[in-house]
Amino acid sequence: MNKFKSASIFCMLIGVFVGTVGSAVVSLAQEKEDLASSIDAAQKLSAASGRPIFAIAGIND
Amino acid sequence: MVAQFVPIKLDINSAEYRQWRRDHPVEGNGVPKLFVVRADGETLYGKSGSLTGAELSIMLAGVLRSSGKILSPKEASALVDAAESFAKLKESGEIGNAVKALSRVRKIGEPGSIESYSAPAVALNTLVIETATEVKTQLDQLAEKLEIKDASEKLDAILEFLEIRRNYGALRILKPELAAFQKKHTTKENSQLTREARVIDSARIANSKNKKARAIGKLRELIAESEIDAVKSIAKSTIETLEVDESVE
Repeated sequence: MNKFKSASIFCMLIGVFVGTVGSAVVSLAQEKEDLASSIDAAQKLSAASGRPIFAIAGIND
Repeated sequence: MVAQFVPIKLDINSAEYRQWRRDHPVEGNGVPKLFVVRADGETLYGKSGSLTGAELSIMLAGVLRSSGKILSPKEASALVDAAESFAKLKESGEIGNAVKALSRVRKIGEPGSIESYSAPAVALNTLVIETATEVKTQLDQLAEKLEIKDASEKLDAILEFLEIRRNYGALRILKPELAAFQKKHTTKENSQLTREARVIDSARIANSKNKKARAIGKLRELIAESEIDAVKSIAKSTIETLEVDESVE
């Protein structure tokens, strides 16, 4: 993941927590390719590298 | 900082999320719900509600301190390779080489106590800890053997110990046990027998024509000087083995 994308996701995730759940889901969807596609995929990525999973649960619009 | 995480969005109405919630507790009932889960599945954070940018940064920095080392793909692959080589070489009896195979990953962490919750690190740590447990059991058995008065049994035990120390000495996880065994059983007690056993042990690992010739010379001196029949007997059989090896070469 390049620095630009990392910064972009970071801003997006901050947006999640200061914004409403609805806008958060929209924000997250804009960077869909950077998110793990499923819990299983996230767990595999996490186990392979030791990176913790950062999960945001909300209501999908 | 976020690059150090695997981000995922979950829908609280999905079946996938229901399973997730069974594994990861969360404080509060509202949405959004935020989770940080360590690579080994431990929930480091689980709370409902929004966080400001500053609060989020503090929380992320806090959980990262409990998340262990994050591996690069190259490091992860080096750990997988080291574990495979270690297991394969150990299985084929090449213990010394198995332990050497671990030296390549020392810059990542000490095998047996690599501070990472990643699967490659956990697998390698487990392998090394299991091996260390086996060796500790062997040392306990050797200690019992050394309680027996019979010199032949004692010599066997000391030779086994010297081989274990030679093979596993580089494993930091075993250093305290090896040092304690050496101090108690070969320095304080059995010192003469240990000195003589060392000559036999060195001869056993002689791997070139010159080294073998030198080893045979030292074993002959040992046979002439030793007062212990068991030493003389093993020294003789070691000479025979070395001479057979030399004639084959």
